[in-house]
Amino acid sequence: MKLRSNGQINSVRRGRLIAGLVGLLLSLGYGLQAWITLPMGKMSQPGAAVFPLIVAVLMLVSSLVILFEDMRSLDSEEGPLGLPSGGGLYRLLGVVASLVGYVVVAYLVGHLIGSVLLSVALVHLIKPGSWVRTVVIGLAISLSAYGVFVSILGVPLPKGVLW
Amino acid sequence: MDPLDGMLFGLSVAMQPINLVAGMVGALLGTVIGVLPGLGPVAGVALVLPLTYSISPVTGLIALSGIFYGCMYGGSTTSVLLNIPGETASIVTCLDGYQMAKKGRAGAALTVMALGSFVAGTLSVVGVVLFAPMLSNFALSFGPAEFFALTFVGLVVLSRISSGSFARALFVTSLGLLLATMGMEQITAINRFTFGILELSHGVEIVPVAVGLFGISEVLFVVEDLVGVPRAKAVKLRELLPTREEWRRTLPAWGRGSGLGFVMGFLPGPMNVLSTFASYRLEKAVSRHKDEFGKGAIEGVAGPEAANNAAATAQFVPLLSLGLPFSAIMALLMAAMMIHGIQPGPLLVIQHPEIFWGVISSMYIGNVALLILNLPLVGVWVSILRIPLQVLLPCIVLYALIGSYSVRNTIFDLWVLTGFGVLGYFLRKLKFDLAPLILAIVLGPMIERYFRTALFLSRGDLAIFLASPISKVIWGAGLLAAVGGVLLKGLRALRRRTRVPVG
Repeated sequence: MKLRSNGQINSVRRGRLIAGLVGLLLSLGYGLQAWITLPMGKMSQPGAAVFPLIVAVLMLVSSLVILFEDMRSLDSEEGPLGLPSGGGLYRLLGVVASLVGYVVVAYLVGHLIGSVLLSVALVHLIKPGSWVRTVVIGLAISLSAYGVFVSILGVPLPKGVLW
Repeated sequence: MDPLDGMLFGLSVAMQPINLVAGMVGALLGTVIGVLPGLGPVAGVALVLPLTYSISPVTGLIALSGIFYGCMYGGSTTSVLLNIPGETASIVTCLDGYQMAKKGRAGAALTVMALGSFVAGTLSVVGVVLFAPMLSNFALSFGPAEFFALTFVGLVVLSRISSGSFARALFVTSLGLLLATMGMEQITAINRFTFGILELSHGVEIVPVAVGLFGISEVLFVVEDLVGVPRAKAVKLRELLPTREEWRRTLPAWGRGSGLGFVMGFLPGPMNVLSTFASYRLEKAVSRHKDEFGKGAIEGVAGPEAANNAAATAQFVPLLSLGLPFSAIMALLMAAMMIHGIQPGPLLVIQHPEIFWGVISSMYIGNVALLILNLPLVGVWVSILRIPLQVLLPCIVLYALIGSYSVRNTIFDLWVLTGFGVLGYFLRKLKFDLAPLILAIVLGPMIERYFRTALFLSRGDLAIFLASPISKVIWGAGLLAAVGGVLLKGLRALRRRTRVPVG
């Protein structure tokens, strides 16, 4: 398997190989699940398994071609993956963690507290400064969103299971 | 209802105060979204989609359509002034628009761009009025086999023309189809791939998927590399008028761009983007000032801008007449209709004339509004770029969460949003085109239904898929699109080989 070009591991190609492998496993698992659990029917009355099996074959073929292309370096679009490091990585992981945190907090204690915490966290991640300023901006963003969506537009938002 | 009566009826619908406001707000919001780099029309429409569920379908669709063509206007403003394309359809405008700005002709470029968008939008609306009902009438003769051919070939063609390799596009398409099979299937009401999760029995909701893939992933891209936006030079009102020579070169370019964009808009794929590149090539080929291209040729702004707007408008024809969304945005508009129990397709013009004609007429009103507002407010649009990211990004994230939750009121969709945000980030890093995924989620259930219904009707005879001349033409065109490129490449290679001198 040729993974190195110019002495360095080609990250995009490696990433696509992983994507191809995941696709391969997903198509096999998905196809198998359809085959085992869903009725096939007959040609004149195709059952619920038929279309998923066609999709599984499509995914299997495309995953194999991706693997083949990247193993043989046939794909012209290569280059570094460009994953961030340092501050960029910290902000990236911070945003994902804030999103996960919001979902957990909103489920437990509702949207309002969740949105305040999320906004404060994001403001801090994007431009760290004094905490007073960060909290004020975060509060302003979350409360104005709450005012617009809940008070004016009447959009229902998570209330929290603990209350 | 003939086209003229239909248009007049549509105008009466679109001029209702609520629809007028919806169109204006949509167009202005679209301009803002278009101005903001990265946040394109797909994310914009997906973000606003949930809000339209509580209003009437025609008002919601007018607002969403406004966002779409508003984006087309807004995206080009920053291309000219800052060399930053607000969305992908404005990349070409950077080439000559920014060069014009550097020569002090930014005002003329903005006028040509805005007027060209208006002219193309207007010509395309006329085209839509003429062609959409004709296509609807023609499509009334389609059965499940023809619709299966059309939807399946549409997806394959989109995969073929997507950026990157065919395999990657097919991979993303099959991922979308896989997601589309989750939940209760429509014919025998069997739950598939729900893994005991109650929310999944209603299927995967399109809004959190689209907002995650296009909105949250964009936020992740922005935060990993926070770059400031340069300040644009102010444009004075008297600088907006092009010179006589500029007018002379602009008018034919508008005509060519409008025609090219309109025709391309009927084809599957992001034609509003691809038509700009095609138009730029066309303008360069026919121009007497070829050497000016890339250095500030006004045709390089006029043609692509007209093509972009004409294609954006023409994309409504297959959606409204055939019920076929040929791009991710049209798929979201179709999802908006289906939420209200409205099935776009040949019967739409008969069953819901207010939607069919109302949406078409609102495009014209939206184009007029954008023309009036765009040039005087150019300073406002540019100042939007000065909103600090620490305010803008939390607002986008919060809105994405609220929008995704509000569709079904379930925390599960927030997990879907987060998951697809991360997935979208990695897929984009690996240069996978994400538009086919959205299209496959919307088209998947339709393709399956047409496929199985056709087999039910033919009692299992597969020949039904090639029985009618319409099906044969569609499959033939699909085959040509799928393997035509490979064949052409092979022929070229063969010709090159035969030219190599022996010995």
